[in-house]
Amino acid sequence: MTFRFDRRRWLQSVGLLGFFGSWIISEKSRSEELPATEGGGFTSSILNPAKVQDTRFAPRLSNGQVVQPAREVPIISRTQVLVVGAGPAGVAAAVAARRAGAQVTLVERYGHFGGLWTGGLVLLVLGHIVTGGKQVCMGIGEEMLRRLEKLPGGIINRKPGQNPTVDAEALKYVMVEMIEEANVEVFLHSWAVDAILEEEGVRGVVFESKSGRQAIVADVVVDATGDGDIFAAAGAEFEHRSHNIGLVSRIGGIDKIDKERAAKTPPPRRLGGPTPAPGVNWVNLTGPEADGLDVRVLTRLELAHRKFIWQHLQKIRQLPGYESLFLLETAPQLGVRITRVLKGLATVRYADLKSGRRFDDVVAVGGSTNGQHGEWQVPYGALVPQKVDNILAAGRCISAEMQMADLVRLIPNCFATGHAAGVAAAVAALDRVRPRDVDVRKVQKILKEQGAYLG
Amino acid sequence: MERFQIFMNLKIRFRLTRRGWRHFVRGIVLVFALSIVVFGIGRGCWWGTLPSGISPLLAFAKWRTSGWEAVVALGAFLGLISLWRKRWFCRWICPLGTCNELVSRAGKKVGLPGQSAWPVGQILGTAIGLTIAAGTPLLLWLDPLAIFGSGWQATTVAGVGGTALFLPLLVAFAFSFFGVGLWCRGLCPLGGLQKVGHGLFKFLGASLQRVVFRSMRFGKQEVPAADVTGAGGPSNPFDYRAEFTAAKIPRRIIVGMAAGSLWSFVPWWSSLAPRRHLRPPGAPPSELRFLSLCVRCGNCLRVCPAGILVPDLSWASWSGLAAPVVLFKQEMCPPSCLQCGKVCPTGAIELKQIPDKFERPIGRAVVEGEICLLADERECGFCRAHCPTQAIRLQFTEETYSVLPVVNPARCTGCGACEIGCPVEPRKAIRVVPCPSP
Repeated sequence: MTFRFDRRRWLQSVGLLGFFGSWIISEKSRSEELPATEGGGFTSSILNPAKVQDTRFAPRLSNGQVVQPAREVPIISRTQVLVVGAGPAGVAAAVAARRAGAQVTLVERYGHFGGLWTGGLVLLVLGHIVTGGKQVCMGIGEEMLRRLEKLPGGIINRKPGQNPTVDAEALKYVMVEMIEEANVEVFLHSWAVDAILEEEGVRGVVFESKSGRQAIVADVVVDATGDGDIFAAAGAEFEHRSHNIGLVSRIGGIDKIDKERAAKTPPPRRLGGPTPAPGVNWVNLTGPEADGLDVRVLTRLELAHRKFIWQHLQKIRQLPGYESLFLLETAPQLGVRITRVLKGLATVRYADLKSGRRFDDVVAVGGSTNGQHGEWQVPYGALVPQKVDNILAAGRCISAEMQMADLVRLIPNCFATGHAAGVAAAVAALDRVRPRDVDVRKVQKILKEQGAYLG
Repeated sequence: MERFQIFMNLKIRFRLTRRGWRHFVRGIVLVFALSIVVFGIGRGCWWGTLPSGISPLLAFAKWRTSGWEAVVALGAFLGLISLWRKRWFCRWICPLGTCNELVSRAGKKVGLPGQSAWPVGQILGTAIGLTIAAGTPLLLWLDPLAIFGSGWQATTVAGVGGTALFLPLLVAFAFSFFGVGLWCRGLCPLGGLQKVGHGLFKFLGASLQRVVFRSMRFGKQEVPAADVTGAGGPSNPFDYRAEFTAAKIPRRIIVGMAAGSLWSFVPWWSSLAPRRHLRPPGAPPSELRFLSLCVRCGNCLRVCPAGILVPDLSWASWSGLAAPVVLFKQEMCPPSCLQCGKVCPTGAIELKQIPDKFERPIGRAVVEGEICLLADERECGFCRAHCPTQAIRLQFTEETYSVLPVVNPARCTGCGACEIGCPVEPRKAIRVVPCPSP
């Protein structure tokens, strides 16, 4: 049989070749198209087979001193309002500023929103009610609590005149929802380390992340770091205070306590308070008074607290009836209460709380832990540093007397000051004025439109 | 011209006699005193301590405790005049005397007979004077100006109970009405002391005169003492001149001195009177000394800007009746305030400078760990934040791994800031309690 390569055979060959060839090519090209960082399935990919990092600017040890050469920091974003820290104050500030019409970037050191509220497991919301059970924290904080109400297991004890307890995971979910709805640019895992200065004012922050040292340039910066890291770096005057540093934990198995046998012994302390999760309590820890800016202190307390919490729970478990208890988790974040407090143009004063003083430039109203006293007002000046421009403080680090610091740092009051700082920053950025020259009437008007209570 | 005539007539009509002048001065003093005690005029000024401050007796007490002050000088000046002019203070100044005279006139009009006076006032006055010198006065509150002011303390307290504070005033009026001037003539210790003092002054003056006289008429016949003073023998049993010139001390003065001396031993027992109440800052640590110095004039109650001072109206502790007690409800004792010490006429509240608040505190803060929120690991620490002297520390204990407020007694003035700041209701977890007696 002779091989005849006629037209028919030729067409068949070309067809087969074309089919297999295209298949091979497409397979090959698909493997090339896969995004570099997410890898393909269970395999990892080599992104750069022989990379050597540039060490020209690495710190050098010379003469016993570590010195870092001057270098240019890459700018990864330019924005109008930059909010540093995504705790209650930061999230409220970011959402408020975005809703007021500014372009907003939010930088957060941890991988979640909520700060000590979620990461610190401070689940009890204290500080939003005043005498007679009236609620004073409204606006974005109240919106967050209302969203939590709609989630199963999101919040308990949500009644007028009571302090509710929230679920940290539900809260993280709600905050992501709100930040995404508002369309805020977010950088997580980014630890702001320095302020960028231009003449008298702050023009952004430098932050460290796995991507190295990068910068964000902004018109106005809101310092919601809690520790006042940014205004301190910018040279604003502040008071350095010590406070008790604790660590919150959650214990499970509360619902399985054998009540009959447990009744024989006096109930142990540190069983904490209920949370939305069934059978789970959150347990506070006051801890010793210490400097929350000292890394050795933070390390020592983190280790000591965690050890104590574990050992103490084992002791409780040995009591009859309490065998079911187990340590669910210790909080990812150490409970630092107060560190730096700004010295602002105005100060939140105890005498003003007592006298019920009202300010013309009120931008936030705070409450009490249990309704034992009336509301107190935060003047706009308490958010503004005395000398440095283009930066506003929000949250626990605003300008306040010692007596008031324990009220200012409570979650709802952080919401209120964060909300105010966000709106004021947006107004300053959009009107192209310094924060100290902002039209406070306009800020108050926007705050009221956004549902805030101003007395 | 006619107008001038009328004016002249008026002037003539209002020309004051010596007696008229006296009434004029007394009237002004009375109005001034009433406006201070009733309406609180002069609050915060040095003369806010008036009217009680003008009493020479109280000025002596204040000098004994606190040394010289403007008010002390005023009281001493008035007292010196009274030595020279018999009972000058009673007749020209004393607002209670003015009131009593009006009441006595009413009594006379009704037709009540006057009572002969016992020398009770002189005994009392001597005893009080002596015990002031010893440091723990006896019955100092019987001073007429203290009585005049005390009733008006009622204006600082709500309710009917306070009106009982008018009781001493009413008793004095009753003596004046039914005895027609009996209070001023016989019972008032300040009047009595003036009599004794004036007698002593005259006696000394006469002795001096006699010495000078004798030296001038050297070698001549000695002049009988009675002739010098011109009394002409002890015809009047209450004539001071007669008795002093007889070169013997009257019995009433001896009785008064004896009573005073006996009382001076009492402070040894002062530890037997434990402090049950919080007293104003600057009050001496000894409760007995405080209660004996305090004349219940009510100056401190009226001046206190925080309104934390109230008169003690619990009849159970009768010895401290109507004395000021500190009550912390809404307000604390302001750290830089020295008002109550400034207006105290006797130095019962010896408060001249801020360190006095640490030396003689209102009380000391104590913590009840059982109900403290921190013991239950709940967010708190308000007491430490509110303490104006940084006396409170939140002490961490490794064994319990918990925190409790600890008060440094050396830094605590008992100002009550922590007690007011404490959120635990109704029984506060940190409270100011009286210091133990020395």
